[in-house]
Amino acid sequence: MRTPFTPGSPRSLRSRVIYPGLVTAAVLIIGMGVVGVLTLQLRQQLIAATDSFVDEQRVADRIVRAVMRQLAVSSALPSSGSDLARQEFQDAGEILYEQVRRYLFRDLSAEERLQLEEIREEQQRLEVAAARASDLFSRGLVEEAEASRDAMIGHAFDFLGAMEAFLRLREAELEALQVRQTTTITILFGGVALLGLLLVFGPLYIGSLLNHRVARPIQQLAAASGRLEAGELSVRVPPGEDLEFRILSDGFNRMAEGLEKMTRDLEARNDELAHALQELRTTQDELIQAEKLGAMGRMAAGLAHELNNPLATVLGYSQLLAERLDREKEDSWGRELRRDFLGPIVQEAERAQHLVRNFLYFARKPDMKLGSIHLKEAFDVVTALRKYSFQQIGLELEVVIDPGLHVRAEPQMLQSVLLNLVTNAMDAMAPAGKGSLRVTAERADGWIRVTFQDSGPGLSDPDRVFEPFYTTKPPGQGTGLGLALTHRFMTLFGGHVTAENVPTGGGLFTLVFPEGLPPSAEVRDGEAGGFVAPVAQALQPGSPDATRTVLVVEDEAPLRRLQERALKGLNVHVLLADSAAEARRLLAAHQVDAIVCDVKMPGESGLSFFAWLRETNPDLAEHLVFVTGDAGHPDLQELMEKNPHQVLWKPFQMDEYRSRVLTVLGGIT
Amino acid sequence: MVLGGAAAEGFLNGIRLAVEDADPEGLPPLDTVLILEADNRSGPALEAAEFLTDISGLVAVIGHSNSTASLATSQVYNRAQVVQIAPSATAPIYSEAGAYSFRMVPPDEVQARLLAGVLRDSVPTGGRVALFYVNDDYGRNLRALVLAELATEPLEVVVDLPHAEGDIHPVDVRHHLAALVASNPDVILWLGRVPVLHALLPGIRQGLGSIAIYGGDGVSPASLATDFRWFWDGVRFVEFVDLEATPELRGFAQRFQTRFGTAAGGREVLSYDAAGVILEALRQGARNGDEVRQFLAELGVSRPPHPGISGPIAFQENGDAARNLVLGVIRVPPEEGNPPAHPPDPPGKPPGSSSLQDPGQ
Repeated sequence: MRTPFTPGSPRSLRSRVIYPGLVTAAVLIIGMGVVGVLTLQLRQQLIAATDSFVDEQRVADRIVRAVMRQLAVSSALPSSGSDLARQEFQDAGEILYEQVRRYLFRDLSAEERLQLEEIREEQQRLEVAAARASDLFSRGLVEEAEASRDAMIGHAFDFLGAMEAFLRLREAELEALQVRQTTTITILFGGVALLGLLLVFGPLYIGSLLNHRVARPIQQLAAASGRLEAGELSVRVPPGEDLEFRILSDGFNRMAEGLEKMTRDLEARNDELAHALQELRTTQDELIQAEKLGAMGRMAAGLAHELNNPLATVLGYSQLLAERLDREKEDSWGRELRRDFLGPIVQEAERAQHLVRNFLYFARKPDMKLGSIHLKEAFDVVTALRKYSFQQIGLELEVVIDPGLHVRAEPQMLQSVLLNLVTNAMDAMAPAGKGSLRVTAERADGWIRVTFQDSGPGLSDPDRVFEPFYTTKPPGQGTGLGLALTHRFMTLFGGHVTAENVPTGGGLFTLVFPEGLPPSAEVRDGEAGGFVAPVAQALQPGSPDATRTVLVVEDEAPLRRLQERALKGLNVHVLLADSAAEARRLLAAHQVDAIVCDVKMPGESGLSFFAWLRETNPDLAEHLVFVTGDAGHPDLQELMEKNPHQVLWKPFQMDEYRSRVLTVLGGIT
Repeated sequence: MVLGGAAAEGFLNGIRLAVEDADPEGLPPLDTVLILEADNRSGPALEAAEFLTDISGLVAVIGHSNSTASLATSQVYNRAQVVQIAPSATAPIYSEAGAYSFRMVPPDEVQARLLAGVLRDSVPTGGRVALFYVNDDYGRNLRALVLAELATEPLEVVVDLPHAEGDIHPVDVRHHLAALVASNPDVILWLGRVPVLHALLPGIRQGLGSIAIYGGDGVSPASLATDFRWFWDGVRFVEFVDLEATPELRGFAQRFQTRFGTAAGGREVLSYDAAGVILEALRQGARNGDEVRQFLAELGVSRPPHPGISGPIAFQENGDAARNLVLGVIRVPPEEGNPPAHPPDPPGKPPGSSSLQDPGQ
């Protein structure tokens, strides 16, 4: 866009170069014209002067010849008195008169003209005197004739004097003409010299001006353009001195500034894109990981569901058998039987239970409800679970947690995370039989940072520890899912986990949680942090009586019988149903105080039955406990959030089963 | 503006009368300079011309009164682009003076033919002619032309004497009379100045009686107003205008006589008409010398001739005016004690003035 001209703006190159150039050219043209005209005038003057001089000389010659002739004749005229002499005299006089009168028409000054008239008058007087003398001589009047001749001679001298005066005037005029022509020639030469100077210095001046005003700015622009092309975006050109180059330099500088800004923006955008790409890749990795885990989880969930029932049967009967041996065979055989046979069965069944439960975590959808959890309390549970194991191995467990810290997490998952890391450290240090794990927590800018540093051998490959099924434990001792789940859960919490080795040789895991709100601002469930502490449910056998009736709805017969046997220890009346329909029939026929119901059953599911029950007998519905291996069912998740005691996962510990049944029976008056 | 010599007063009065007679309608404010010269010589005339051409706005000059002064000043006026109308300059070379030079009369050739014809008709075969002339632009040219005309005539020029311009030289008077008496001519042809003739005439009348005397246009009754004696009676001369020819001219003569107390001649008529044609040019819009010159050149060409009292006025390309000349005669009552001086009329010619038609016109 053209920069508007303001009073402070520089002059345009047009006005600085073109206009002076035009003026110079005009001056040259006019000067050449003037010189030409002067030359022509001088030429005409010279020609005219020459012609005039020649003509005047011719006229003057004729006059002089006529004068000489007349004077010569006049000297003899009086004495001879012949007609021939008189005619000769008169002819000469006519020539003289004619030439003098022709002279009159020449360009003369007033003085010259007066002198010319003087010549004419003297010549006339001479002629009169000559005629008189001649006539007197012819009539014999010698004395008078001589007097007239003397007068004639006097007029002749006067005539010659007049001629000389006139010639002096003409000579002066010619000299003046010479001066004028010399002056004209001098002016002409001066003009030619001036034009020559203009022709020599004009182009030099214009060339210098163009070099300074045009070539140099263009070179600066070209150099700046080259530097700009090379990427030097900060390059600028000095403002032009002339309007056109001021506009050009301003435009170039604006363009350079624009390019620099655009480049900065592009770089910033590129950084953003790189960051977004990195996040995308991370998200993609996580998605791949999640998809991988999800696929595996879904497979595991199906498998776990099928395994939970037999595991529950095996574990349940093993526990019942152990209880019975405890009650009835307290001898060495009984103890040996329990330690060497039932112990491994229970231990392996529990390991399978733990494995299946981890599988089920993968099957869970991440739509859990996050809440503020008291970190110290959560650690207390973990410490209680693993303190004995640490002591048994000879390891030290030191937990330094500020009681005022709260993290935002899901209670079950948080428990799993903490337990995984403590167990992982314990397993790592166990082969050495010594070592320590130190857990610390601190607040940092809205985040809670928890570190697990052990003195163990360290991580063999810190970058891979969060990969599913990656484990360095001996076969049969690790599933490779613990740390993978830890990573997934921390991501779901909105935090993250890192693993590294410390220079002293141990491994260091760092958990970073979003800080939770303090207890006053967080609506908590009835249990601390929603955290279910199975061991907190004290077993109180024998409190119910046989007047209470518990309906067990289970499609698999072994599990129905297992639960029947387990409930007998509680001194309650047990009704068994293999389906929902059978359960309805029994409910119609009996007073039932509590219901233990499977979820996945042929035909009508346990959830459908529960929905029917809540409509038909809402009070009884609150005394229903689901025993299920289908951990991923959303309705169960919702129910578990509202009434955690109404859901029990298969396979279950017998004590836990009885405790849960007692809980639902406990609300009945 | 009129510049003149002996007859200058008559010229000036002619111009005065023209300005007085002019209808002021359509005329710009006039500023007239009237200069009366002391004599006919060219020196004073040149000085006057230089003075006049220095006046801003000068468009025309009427003058000078004779050929010498008119010729001498013509280049001054031409250079200044001021129109010059010479009322009575007859020198042939004036026709070549320039574009701004005009005159109210034809050149000497016409007058020379008129005079030669008169001599041929009035002088018997073998007659003797005494020729006197003033040796200036007027007399010497007219003499040469008359002699050329008489060359084929059976006449003898027994006296051919010049006199000088200016003051009368007593030697010339004595010499001329002596030569005249000695040659015993039949007729005197006077192409000189009036004062010289005036000095000679008493001697002529005493020695030659009523000898016929013919003069050029330089002999004019108006020129002799101050000393018009008996010896002038019968002298014939060339007149540019016959004042008895038309009622307008007669009326002019009467008005002139009434206005100025002197008789008018042809020169007064011509100066009157010269002023009239200049005033008409101004009335027609001419405001400088070139426009006046253009107007004069267009008369008789793209404009009708100016109706002067002397007749239609137009100028030839060389500035000359075509005009019929007449031969006038001076009549003076005889004085007591002096015989009648007038000569007998030429044979076959009526007494009084006569006129000849210019063959060239």
